[in-house]
Amino acid sequence: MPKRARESSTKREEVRRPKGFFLVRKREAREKRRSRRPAAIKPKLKRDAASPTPKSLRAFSVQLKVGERWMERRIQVKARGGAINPHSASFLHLSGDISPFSPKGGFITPPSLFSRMKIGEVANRKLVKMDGGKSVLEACRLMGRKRIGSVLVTLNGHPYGIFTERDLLSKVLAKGVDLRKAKLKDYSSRPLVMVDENYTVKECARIMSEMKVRRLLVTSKGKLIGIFTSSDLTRVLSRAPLDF
Amino acid sequence: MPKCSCCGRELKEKDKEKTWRECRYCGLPVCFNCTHYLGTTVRDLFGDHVEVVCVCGICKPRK
Repeated sequence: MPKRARESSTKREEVRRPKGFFLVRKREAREKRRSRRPAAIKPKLKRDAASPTPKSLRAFSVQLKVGERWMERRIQVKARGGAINPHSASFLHLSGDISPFSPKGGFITPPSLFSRMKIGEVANRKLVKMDGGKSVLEACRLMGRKRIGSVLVTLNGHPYGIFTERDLLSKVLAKGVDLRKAKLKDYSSRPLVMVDENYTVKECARIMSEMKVRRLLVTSKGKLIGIFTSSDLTRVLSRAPLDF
Repeated sequence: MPKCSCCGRELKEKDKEKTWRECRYCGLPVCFNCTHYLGTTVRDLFGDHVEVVCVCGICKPRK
């Protein structure tokens, strides 16, 4: 064996790495890159089976890590056949209120998205209902326990009216009616003011001021899906940037 | 390209229901600056409720 060839073979043996060396290095680099990312881009996706959305749109509740705690956000994304990548730009665009690029992993709504935010996305879907035959006292107890200002009154399972704090003050307490004997259906506000879910938040704010109401019931294809109150409007507004 | 039936502003087709909407009565496009909202009583099987509809300045009934 010539001398030069023997030297090169020994050098090659010295440089030779153990099996899987490069794979380990790659994994380490990948983990290092991941650790640099903000914590907010680790959403847990959870399919909401009870959502009344059409097939083309899927409703998800996304859990975002903001600082140390997880926050839940309900969003709608367009299904494109396959799995949805929560980190994709289209997802973030559609979701509206998630911006994981902010240093603290916050959820400030960009002004452009805020103006286009639909009422169906931000309305409160947990409607508190009560039968009209029940007493006003029971309604007051429920409102106090749940820390809400109104109860949707139903008759035979269908929406009939809404009993609010104002009704309690002006119709019941001011007239000295007995709370135990007074039935809810006799003192509730009628008729209900309903808006379609496709209306934007700004439009709903205008409707509320024009019609002088604080609560709008949100419908989808004629079916009641949620309620949008002035406090919800404040909540949505608070998410917008301060220079908006 | 659609135009606002009240102020004549040019509107984009893709911005429908974002910056403009069709009038519920006449069906003409109307921008958000010129829209008026009207409460209409809808009577159904189980009672009646008020449905808010978007109308243009021409279709809005005068008091």
